[in-house]
Amino acid sequence: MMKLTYSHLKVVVYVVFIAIILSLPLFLDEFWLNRTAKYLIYGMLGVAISLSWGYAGILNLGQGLFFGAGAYMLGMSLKLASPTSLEQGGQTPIPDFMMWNAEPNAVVDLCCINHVSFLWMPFQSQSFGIFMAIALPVLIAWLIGTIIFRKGIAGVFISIITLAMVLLARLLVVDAQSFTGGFNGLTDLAWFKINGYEFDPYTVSTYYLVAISLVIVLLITRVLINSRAGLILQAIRDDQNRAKYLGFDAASYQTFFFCVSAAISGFAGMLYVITAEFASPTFMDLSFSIAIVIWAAVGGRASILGACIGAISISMLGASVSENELFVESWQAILGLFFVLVVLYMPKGLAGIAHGICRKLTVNRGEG
Amino acid sequence: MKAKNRDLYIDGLGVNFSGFQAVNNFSMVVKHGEMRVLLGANGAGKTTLMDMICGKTQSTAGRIFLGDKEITNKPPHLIARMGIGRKFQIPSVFKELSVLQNLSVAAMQESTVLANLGSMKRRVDHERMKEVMSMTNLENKAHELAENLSHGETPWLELAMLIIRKPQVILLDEPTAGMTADETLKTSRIMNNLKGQHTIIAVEHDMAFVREIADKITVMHQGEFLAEGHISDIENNQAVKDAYLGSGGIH
Ligand SMILES: Nc1ncnc2c1ncn2[C@@H]1O[C@H](COP(=O)(O)OP(=O)(O)OP(=O)(O)O)[C@@H](O)[C@H]1O
Ligand SMILES: [Mg+2]
Repeated sequence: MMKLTYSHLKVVVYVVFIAIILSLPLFLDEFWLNRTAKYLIYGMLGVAISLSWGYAGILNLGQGLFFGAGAYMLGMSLKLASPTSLEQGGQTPIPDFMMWNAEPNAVVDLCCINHVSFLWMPFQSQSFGIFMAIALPVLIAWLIGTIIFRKGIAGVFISIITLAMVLLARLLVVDAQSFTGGFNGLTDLAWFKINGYEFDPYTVSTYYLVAISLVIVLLITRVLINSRAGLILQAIRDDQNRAKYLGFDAASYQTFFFCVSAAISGFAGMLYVITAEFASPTFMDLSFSIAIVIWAAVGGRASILGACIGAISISMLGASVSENELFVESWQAILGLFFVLVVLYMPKGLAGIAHGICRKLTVNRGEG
Repeated sequence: MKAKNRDLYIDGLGVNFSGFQAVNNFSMVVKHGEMRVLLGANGAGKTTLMDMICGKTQSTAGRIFLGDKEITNKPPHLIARMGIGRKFQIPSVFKELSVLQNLSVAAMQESTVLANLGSMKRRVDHERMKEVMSMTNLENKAHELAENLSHGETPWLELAMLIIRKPQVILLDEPTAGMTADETLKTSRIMNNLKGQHTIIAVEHDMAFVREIADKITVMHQGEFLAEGHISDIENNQAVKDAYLGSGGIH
């Protein structure tokens, strides 16, 4: 019989996880598939946080910024494609909130209904919306990264800066009402379309769009952290100076992986808009960004799959629990308490415990 | 001296920390394959000198050459790539990685992110790893996490990480600090093994150890060059004796 090694077991765990999420449509109805798709999207955020926090040592307290940016970028395209926007009677589609806020004699055209509306024009193409949903988060991450990491700023300062950024972004989005829809966000959106095929959020196809995306993100991330660059990244996390004096430009590694993490989050935001049919400034609430960190901490930040499963299961638990009168108010507190306990007693999260068990079960120690 | 034969050439180097002259007009030439020891009382500027060579501290005067390439005030990772390896006074290794992984990182040929997106396999020279691990007494620790190494093994791992890169010049800041007598002895064996293959500059306080390894000694005093020569010359040098009087002499 072949010996079961640690790395075999790891592959088995991945295969089981992927098999489960791909087979769920056999057991769930459309309503539940739609809900589960949202949890899987949160799982993708868990992957993003694990990559930046667990592997790069960058605790991003503003992950919601990238998620929100991705959501709004595609949201803008879907808003313009909605029947309401198309039927405002202008040359171009116009979002309803722009009509409500327009001057009485304004020209009914995206170019000039207000002085920033022209920025919406390229979003008439859905492909542009998709492109920007990835490009904008990456650009923001690159700017933050280049400034912060070049200066050698580390540790808690990165958390404070990212936290400040997400709060600032939320403020701007709520404030720029005639450009962003303000507090209400973007609602009444069209369905996502590929080659004429429409993704109704309450169908198996939308579920698979999300599930397969998650599988791809998981696999790409695994390949990245198993690469030479991934190992160097972990070395930089452990001792930035040692890495520098071995000849690695630490800042460029941190910036690169911070951008990858942002791209994943933006992608997740984009899928969320497709599934939930709205984009909202609440994506940039502090509590949401903190929740992502807690999911990953409980699941295990040092494990991509651990953080992913942590995010999926805790958000699922949170959603069902807050439907119960008793927990509506207290869920946040329970989650917070849970977080403190995890940090104190199992710093590697549930995945850490699972790793320990796997090591005992297997005969020889793999590299993983 | 011919440029061909010298690995490190320091010319009139100085640094001023907002008014405090930590190193002043310091010059030194280190030949290829030499084992040079830097001596000096606490605060003499030995660490600061190494910091300037490896790019950690920006000098305010003078120039540094590696072979015939100038490296003065270049970014640390570039200086490292050009062929200078530095071991710090406080040992630093990648704690959450295994010994093998620490060495793999050190041995990477490429330095940029994009060049390193490929897989680990194939690129690792297992023979060389084994050789370096046995040279530094770590042959049985390949899969141990660096954080679980003993007090004496941690600096060996750091040393191994430098050796595996085959840098032209290795800078060692107090390689035996905090070691037991036995570990110090083993370290001097490692150093003598390296002799001739690498150009090494070491700061060291333990005179027994210095006698064991040094080819030539350079003495610093209050940031300045004081004396240079073989160990017997230095021990009998009047200026050195005077400088050390306050701190009880060299032991
Ligand atoms: N960044 C800095 N700013 C100001 N002063 C500094 C700085 N770095 C070093 N110094 C000062 O420069 C002097 C030389 O310090 P250095 O650490 O180089 O001495 P050293 O010879 O390595 O001593 P030791 O044997 O104790 O390690 C000391 O007086 C120190 O306080
Ligand atoms: Mg020193």
